[in-house]
Amino acid sequence: MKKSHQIFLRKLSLLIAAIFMVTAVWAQEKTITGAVTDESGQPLPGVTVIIEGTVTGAVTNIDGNYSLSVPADAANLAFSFVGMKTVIVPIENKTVIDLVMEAETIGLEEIVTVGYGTQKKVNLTGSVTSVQAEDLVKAPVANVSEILNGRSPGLFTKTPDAVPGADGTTLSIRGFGSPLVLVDGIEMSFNRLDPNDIESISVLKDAAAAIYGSRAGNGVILVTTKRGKTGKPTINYHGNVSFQQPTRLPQWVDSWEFAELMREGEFNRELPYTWTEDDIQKFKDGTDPNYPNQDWYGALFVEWAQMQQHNMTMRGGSEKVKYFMSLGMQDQASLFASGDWDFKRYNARANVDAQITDDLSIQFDMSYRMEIRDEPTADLGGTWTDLRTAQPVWPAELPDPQYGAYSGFSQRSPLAQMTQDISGSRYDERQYFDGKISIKYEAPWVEGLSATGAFSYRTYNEYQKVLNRPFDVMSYDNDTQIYSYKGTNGNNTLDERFRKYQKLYPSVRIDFNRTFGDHAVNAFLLGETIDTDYLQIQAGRRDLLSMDIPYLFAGSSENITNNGTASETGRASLVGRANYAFKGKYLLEGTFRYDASHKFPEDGQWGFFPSVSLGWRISEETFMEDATWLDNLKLRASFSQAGYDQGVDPFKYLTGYEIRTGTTTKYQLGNALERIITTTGLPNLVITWEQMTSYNVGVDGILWEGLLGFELDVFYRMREGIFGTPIESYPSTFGASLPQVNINSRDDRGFELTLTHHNKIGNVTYSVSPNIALAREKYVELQEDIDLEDIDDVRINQKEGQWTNRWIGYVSDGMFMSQAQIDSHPVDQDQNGNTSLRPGDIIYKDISGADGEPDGIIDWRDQDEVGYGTFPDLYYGMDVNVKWKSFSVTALFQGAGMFNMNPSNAMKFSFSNWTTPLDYHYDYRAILSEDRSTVTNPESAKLPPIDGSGAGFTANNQKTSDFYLQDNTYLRLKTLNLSYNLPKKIISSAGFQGVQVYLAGTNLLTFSGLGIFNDSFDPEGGYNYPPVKTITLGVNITL
Amino acid sequence: MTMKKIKYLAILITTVVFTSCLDVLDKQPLDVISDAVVWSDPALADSYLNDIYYRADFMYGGPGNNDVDLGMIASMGGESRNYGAWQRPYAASTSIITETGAHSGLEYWKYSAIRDVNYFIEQMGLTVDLDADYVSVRVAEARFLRAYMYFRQTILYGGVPIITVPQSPDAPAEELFVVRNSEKECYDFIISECDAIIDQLITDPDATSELGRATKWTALALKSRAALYAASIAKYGTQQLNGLLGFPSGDVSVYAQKSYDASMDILNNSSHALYQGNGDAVENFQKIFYDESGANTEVIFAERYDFALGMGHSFSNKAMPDGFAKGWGSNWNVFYETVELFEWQDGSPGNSISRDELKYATSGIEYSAEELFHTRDPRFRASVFYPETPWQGSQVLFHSATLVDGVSYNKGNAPDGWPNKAPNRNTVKTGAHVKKRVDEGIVGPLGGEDNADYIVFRLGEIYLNLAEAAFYLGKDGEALDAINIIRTRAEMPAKTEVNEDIIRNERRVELFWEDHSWFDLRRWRIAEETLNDVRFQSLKYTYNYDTKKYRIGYANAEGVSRVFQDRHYYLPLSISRISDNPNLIENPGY
Repeated sequence: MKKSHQIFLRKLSLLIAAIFMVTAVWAQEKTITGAVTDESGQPLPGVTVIIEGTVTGAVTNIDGNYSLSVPADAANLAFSFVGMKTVIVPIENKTVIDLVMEAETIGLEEIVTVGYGTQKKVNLTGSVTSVQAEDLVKAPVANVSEILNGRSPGLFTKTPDAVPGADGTTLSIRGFGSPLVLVDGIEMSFNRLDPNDIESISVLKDAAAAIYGSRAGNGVILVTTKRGKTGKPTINYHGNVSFQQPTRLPQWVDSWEFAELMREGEFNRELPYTWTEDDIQKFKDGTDPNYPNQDWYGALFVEWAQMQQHNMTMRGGSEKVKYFMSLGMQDQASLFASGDWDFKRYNARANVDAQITDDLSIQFDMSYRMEIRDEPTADLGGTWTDLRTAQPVWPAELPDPQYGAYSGFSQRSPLAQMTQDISGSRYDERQYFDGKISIKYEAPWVEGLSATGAFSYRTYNEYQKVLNRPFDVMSYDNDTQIYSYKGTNGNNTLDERFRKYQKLYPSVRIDFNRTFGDHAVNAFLLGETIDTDYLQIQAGRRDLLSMDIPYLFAGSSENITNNGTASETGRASLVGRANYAFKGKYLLEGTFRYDASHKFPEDGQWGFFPSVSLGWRISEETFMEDATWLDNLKLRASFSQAGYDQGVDPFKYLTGYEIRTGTTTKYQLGNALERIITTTGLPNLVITWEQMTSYNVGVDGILWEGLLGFELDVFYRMREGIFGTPIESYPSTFGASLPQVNINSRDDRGFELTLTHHNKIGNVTYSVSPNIALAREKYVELQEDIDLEDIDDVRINQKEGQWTNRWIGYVSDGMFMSQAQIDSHPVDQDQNGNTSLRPGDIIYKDISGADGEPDGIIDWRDQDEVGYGTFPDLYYGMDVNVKWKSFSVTALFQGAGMFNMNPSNAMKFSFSNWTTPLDYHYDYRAILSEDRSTVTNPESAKLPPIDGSGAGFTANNQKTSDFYLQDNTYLRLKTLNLSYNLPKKIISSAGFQGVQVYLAGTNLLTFSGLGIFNDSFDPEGGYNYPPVKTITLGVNITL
Repeated sequence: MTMKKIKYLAILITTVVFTSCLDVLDKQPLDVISDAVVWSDPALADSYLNDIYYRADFMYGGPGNNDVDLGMIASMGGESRNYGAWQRPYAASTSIITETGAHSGLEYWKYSAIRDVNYFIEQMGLTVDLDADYVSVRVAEARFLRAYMYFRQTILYGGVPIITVPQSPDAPAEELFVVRNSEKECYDFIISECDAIIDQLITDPDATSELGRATKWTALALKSRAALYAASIAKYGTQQLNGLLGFPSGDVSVYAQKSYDASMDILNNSSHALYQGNGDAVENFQKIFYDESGANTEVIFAERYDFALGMGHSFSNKAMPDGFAKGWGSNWNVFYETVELFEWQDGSPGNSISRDELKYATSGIEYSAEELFHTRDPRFRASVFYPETPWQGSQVLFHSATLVDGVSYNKGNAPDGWPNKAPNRNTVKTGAHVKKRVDEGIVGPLGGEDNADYIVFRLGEIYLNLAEAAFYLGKDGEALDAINIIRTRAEMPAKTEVNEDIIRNERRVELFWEDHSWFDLRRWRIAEETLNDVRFQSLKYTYNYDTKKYRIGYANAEGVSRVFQDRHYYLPLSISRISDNPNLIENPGY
């Protein structure tokens, strides 16, 4: 596989070289030279100088000088540079044109990517936020989606873990759910892109998204890769090495505490003791090797995991041909000490733009990526389960390393499990290839009219090989030097899989862009289709003759498995947009999309999705001329209709049967396994997408040349036709799996506010930009089985009319501190006269009864809303940038509120499912007196007593309630970047144009208030592979 | 590139786009079979019916989840506990059932499968493409499955709505929002369905291709069991909810007679016979549950498993005692109260040694494994692992420590290799484990490697059904004969008289761990006295190396006292099913 990768790259570079040879010769009539400087007189390299109305131009060199041949009839030169105001200078008779460029008022000239094109930020009428290239690489992350944490107001993010190759950030625009993600216009995940290839990421929130029609309902994220720029080649190397460490980690009890807690649990439940007092003392003494104190976490994990990323890009071009090329790699190790779990990525990209003739230009893009996941067979969830039950009373290593070390529970042995030589391996290789060619023809006979045809191809192959090795788990007695067999883990099996995916995506479009005096018109019409197919084959064998021959032919002829699946999808659309601007003040945009998907029945598969949005740049009005303090003030309003079809399976309009797959989903008759077919359920003949109607009103302003900037958006979205089962009309005895129909609806409302402040004091330039976003969702209509005549059923279970983000449970009222308190408790809490309760158990409030009044019995009627759910409604953040001479500091704070953490059973209860207790279980447990009649530590007891039955909890304490629920509000320093640009003097002698070194960190500081869980759990993560903090040292070299 | 070429290219691309536009939406699901085909092809119709067999969930708590959730009914019935307290049987049996519903592992609400049976019967009635004899036998099987599922629902909830047609989605609400049929109507339906299909079902299934299908004898076995349940509920239960639950007391003999007739039909007319003479009584009894050769005609109906075909389960893997297991083993721990149910081999009561006598701390008496276990009913030795059970050429041990010259050791070996402590998992729970259905021939099975079929009906039960029904009918002599046939096969001395206790105890012993106990205790209405406010006990053993005997201690086997309230004779339909259909009336007490 690696070889073909290299061959491919060789071919790619040849092809690109060929394209470069297409050069054109131009008539030269006159040469203009000049020097460009900034306001302080420093030369400005890299400024683009273009003959206005053409694509001919030059770029200033390192001294800010340029030289350009212009035809005799050329009128003006346009000078442009990022961060500077574009200047148009008449050529007249001049042959030398020097220029001092002024910094532009921040934000006004920014170009942002929108659906099927770009727009100047000031001309936007929809709600779009954009993250630019320079922000993307400030603090390297393993996964590109992480970059968006806190960067875009209204984009809600959560990064729960950091498993190499499987990490990812949950993204949700305005809390709507998964958005549509497109990379250069193609629907795909952007998690594993090389961040150095990305020019910008745009988040389209309202009408701006509607142009994507039936997929756009939850908003759209557009990722745009870099393209060539006119100028001599700029070669850039960006490399960094990162060190990752968990943000917070649960701390397990020491061995003597473990034994003590077990004993205490058994005492509490009058069960036989597992450990004696003597044992506990021996664990404390630590002198007997049979009584260790093992930190399993410490043994399974390293303190720091390393990740490195390297990327080399070349960017440049002539007027005729511009190119961007990139080669990158990432090598990420996991926190596992075995070193057997890692992720590697190799990627290449070439984006080429060529002007073939005056009228014709082509875009030619290719990218390739290979991802390799090399892991032990153990699935991660299983390893975490094993680790959580690993007891500190057993050593993690045995004298003989070929055995798995017994961890106290069955044949679990987390260390061996994570070691490929012992447990086997899972090797997974994925290759993605994307190619796109786009040809644009500018009609010479109509100014501003052009036509473009494009064709994209994407293919994805995955090969996976899972080799399971059985291994014996042993315990070892140091006195007798005897191994005891505890069990065998795993089978001798081999499973190989191959997946193939292909996407064809042709499109044609016609553009018309022209200005008629005060009227500017931009419009396009586009047709596109998307066609994909997918197939998978799998084969497996058991009992290989030798584990050293990991091939199918070495397997036994019994228990052979093989299988395959296949599917295909299709989509066709007609898209249009028209923008009209009058005097740059009144902006109008209308879009439509006529969209069809294979998922729906033929006579209902086409849908129409329109949007309209308006902008009024008040600051451009004549009556505002005197308000010189006001640089920009714009009002925006939009209305749009979009769909969402991602939540529905295709072909639900057909009825039929599927052959069940999997070995146990069969029925044996005699001596043969007979196959099973299952109905696909009743069809829904009128199934369609969800329909989203959005309203958005916004105001943007920039005051006092950037001393204050603001963007405020207020939105409302109605989401109708959410798939639901019409259970209200059919009781469970109906028996059919009812079709999902478009019956439920929800609505969302909220706002986003971003403030910006840019300033310069002396040599220090800085900016501060806080943002806050709130989004809340309500069930408007919901199919649910509620007995409307029962007020408690309505109060507790009815969701219709309620916020979606709430938590229903029993209302706790502290803990019983004595048996006497239980005996005199007026409420029957267990429906058995409180006989099953004991001191330390949770007390629940009697809220209601059959008559709507408290009835002295705790039953389902005593539940109530006890707080927010587990996904936040409120997000906030702050971006801080400070520059001083060659130094700069960037800090990004991010946080969320209005949500709760609901700890899992293993987090709540000590010994739950035999999990090893955590330090807080030890510190905060209720301790019972000798006669088990009172809690002896009422002051410090925050958790019920240890339960020795092995369940770790009782039905009483396990009730869903507010007892364990924690306010999950947090604020964290998401990224911090310190960078230094080496002085020009030093580097230019070495032939470099720029050298930047930086030190960056993610998740360095976290503020949260999770009560007794705060020291053990990250506010974004759960009880699994933890989120990490990262410290990175990087260098960015420009040749 | 010339303009001309470019134009051609543009035309080409445009053409490609628009032609592909037309067919890109023309997609088909690649893995779906259409409805019409199913009813014209016997292979597909069979596959449809196989799905119902599969979804009938004959095996309580399994298969699935590595089979750790087997033992649900045994656990509920107080025979044993599951090793892990998080395993569903433990959680279900130690918590109090309330209005929010029983533990999900105990629930059985099969209207989805019942609808599919109804649809099958309807379509088979309409098809003209299939052979009439084929249709007749498959429809009878479908009706058996439906009756079986109604039986399983009725014994949990009492009367449930009886639905025999696939309801139309367009049916009016009063048709869809059904009311409960009475418990009596449900039993009547099950029995009449069995009667109706007896002559259509196959009688002698072909061993290589038909074992696993319901036969005439399967339907009669269901009738025998269901009518017996009805008779006992009529005898011991009370009518409630205006007759929705319970029977008029005069019904006892009516249902007892139906059960009796069905049992007699099987015994007299089928080729099924008790499994006998395969080794000694212990070995013979063990092999009933995994001898799948033609010699084992005791099995009337079983869910088939064969690992080599890819259809294995994990019972042996989980039940294998620590020391013989390849990991998780010793999973089902038998309470001492259950051990006491098994008589001594001479026929004297199994609880003849008092608890005080047994306990070394109060009596000072040591017992050998021979005295305490080897001399019990051979069925005990075949069904339960106890200290020094001979197994796979070695023996299963349970002791926590060994005294050598009065000094206690819990690691290493005594001089002749006797381990001073048994493998850990054998020492921590009850001191006895479930052995029934564990195949001694499979050494160290891994998960999923067990072949043993799950027996739903076997002839042993039919004799016990017969005995109980005959007793209800006043035919004590016939009851005694039936009991003694079972006892003789087990090489236990014959009884000379019968009474309620003898019949019940024989049933609990013979059918131990075959998913009967909890249902039997409930229908006899003795669950409250057996299962309420009870803490089941485990035995703890210290081995005295010098005397080769054990010093016995007791300990609580579970963390809590059990709760069985009067209302628990019927499970709650639960608030969600009532909210779903307010026409359903909840059972009393919830």
